[in-house]
Amino acid sequence: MKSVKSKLILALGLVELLTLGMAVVLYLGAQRFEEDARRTRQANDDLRELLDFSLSAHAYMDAFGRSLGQRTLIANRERRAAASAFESRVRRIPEMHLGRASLQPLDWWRLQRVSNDLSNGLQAADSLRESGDFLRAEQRFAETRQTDFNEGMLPWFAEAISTLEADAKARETHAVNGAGWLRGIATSLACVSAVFASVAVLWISDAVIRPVRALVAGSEAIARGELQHRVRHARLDEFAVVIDSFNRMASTIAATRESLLEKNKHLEQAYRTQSEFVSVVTHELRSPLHSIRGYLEFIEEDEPSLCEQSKKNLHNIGEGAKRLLRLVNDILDFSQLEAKQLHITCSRFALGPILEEALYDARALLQGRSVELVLEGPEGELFLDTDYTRLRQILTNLLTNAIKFTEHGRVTLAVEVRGDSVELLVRDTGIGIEASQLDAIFQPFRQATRAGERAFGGTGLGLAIVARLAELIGAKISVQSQPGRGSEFRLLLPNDASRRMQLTG
Amino acid sequence: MARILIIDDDPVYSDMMQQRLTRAGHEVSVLVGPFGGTLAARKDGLDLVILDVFMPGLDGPSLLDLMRKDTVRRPKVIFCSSMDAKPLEELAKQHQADGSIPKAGGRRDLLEYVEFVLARRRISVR
Repeated sequence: MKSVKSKLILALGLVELLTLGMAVVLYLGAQRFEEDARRTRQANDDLRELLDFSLSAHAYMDAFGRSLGQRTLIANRERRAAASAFESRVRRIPEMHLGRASLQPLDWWRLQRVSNDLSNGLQAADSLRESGDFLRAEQRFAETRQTDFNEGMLPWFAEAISTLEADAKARETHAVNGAGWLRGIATSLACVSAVFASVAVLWISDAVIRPVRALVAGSEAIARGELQHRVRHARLDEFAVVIDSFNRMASTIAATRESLLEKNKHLEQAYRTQSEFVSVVTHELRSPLHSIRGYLEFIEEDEPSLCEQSKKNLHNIGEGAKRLLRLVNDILDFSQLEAKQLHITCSRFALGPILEEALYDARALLQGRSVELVLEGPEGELFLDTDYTRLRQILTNLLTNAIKFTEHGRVTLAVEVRGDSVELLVRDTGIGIEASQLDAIFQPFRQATRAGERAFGGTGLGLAIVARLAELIGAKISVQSQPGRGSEFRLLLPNDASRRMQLTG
Repeated sequence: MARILIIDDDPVYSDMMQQRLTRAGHEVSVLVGPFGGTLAARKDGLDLVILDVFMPGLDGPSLLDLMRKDTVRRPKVIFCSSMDAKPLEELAKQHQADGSIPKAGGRRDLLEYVEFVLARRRISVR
């Protein structure tokens, strides 16, 4: 499983390993330099030692020569001191080469031998001088100086110096090479580390960014409504878990939507069936009512001699039939509105006559009540472009409603024109509506009543029909009311109905 | 005076219509239900058929189409239904009937409309 976490661990581990390797290389290089420095220091010491030796040999020769010439006590003392110093140096020859790697290749035995010869020659010269034979002593000194010092010892020192020089040169070369090698290794390791770190960053960021991008694209697709969209994952990592649960969520959403759509279809079907049923039933209910009204007319016509009581009874039957017809019509209208079976047909007509007709119809409902019906019409003739029948129905329903709830006072039908907008108002001085019930009055089967009693007749569909018809013709209905003082319904006609209107006169 | 045939599946309503028209002086016959409608419409001297729209088995518009195919003589036909006036009018136009009258109308509406249709020249269609 190449999870993002294991990728991170792998990348960091490799970078760590490279850094560690670099540290080890640097440590080894430093050790090598230290070793070189130590050996160079040692070679210096050796050189100093050899220099001391040669100086002491030279001092001995010098003091000896001087003592031969001056023959004073001081010169003799100096010669002895130089002799003992040289002798002690010579005695240290066997230990001089021990542990000195740079001086190993030198022929120490030769130095020993030359030194001994020098010492012996000088001692022989010294004993000749002691015996007073200065001439032979000088001769012997000259011989020793020529043979043992110049031809024996000095070449050895020349050789020693060249050996040390070669060693120093070798060490220098070694150090320079080591430094170059170290620089190369460190540079290449740094480069590899940098390259690797970059690759690791790309690798890991790709492992993070790609699934995130896929998830973002997936959620956008689902937001657009493409519920069949699924996010695919190439690897099994942490994001695969997220993507799997995302896909499960998408499937659940799709399944839920499917089932909701299915249910909605069923509901719509059920609703349509119900509406069709109501429509058929109300049609069937209407036909016999028309028959009843027809027959009542015949009776009234055929029997003019009927007694007053019978006339009154027949009249009541007629009124009952009319009311029943109105109720059935309301229910039919409402069921058609709910089933969206009503369509509007726009035509251009004058506003004045439709207001007059609505008031004429409403007057028949007063039934002797002391309610004044008032029309506050617009100045001049106003033309509208909307559905005539529906507007007429809205006005009739509003007026019927106002009259139903007004015992005395007045019901006003008014028109307000402000700029391009036309508003029709139905105002009454009736019982009014409680503020808490204002929202509910446009709901079907509701009447704003006190204590929940149905004090007034009707299906409670009138205002629900008004609200739906207003919506159908694109008008806005609103209501204001003060309980006990009266109500005011405002119908704001749509702009395109009034935009095309014309005011004349 | 005109000869009028009422075709309606509601016997009570058609009886009421018959009385209304008879009282106005017309000679009215009634066919309850749609079947036999084409035959009844062939009767000589028939001026007007008042045809119900919703009838079980065969609805008014279909019966009208049959009558149009069948008869050489063509009496005027108007639809009469408890539908609303507007859709009924549309339906009549669509089936080239000579007019329509909703059942909701009163006696005066019916008689005036029948006189109007009878007096009018046949709408030349097609």
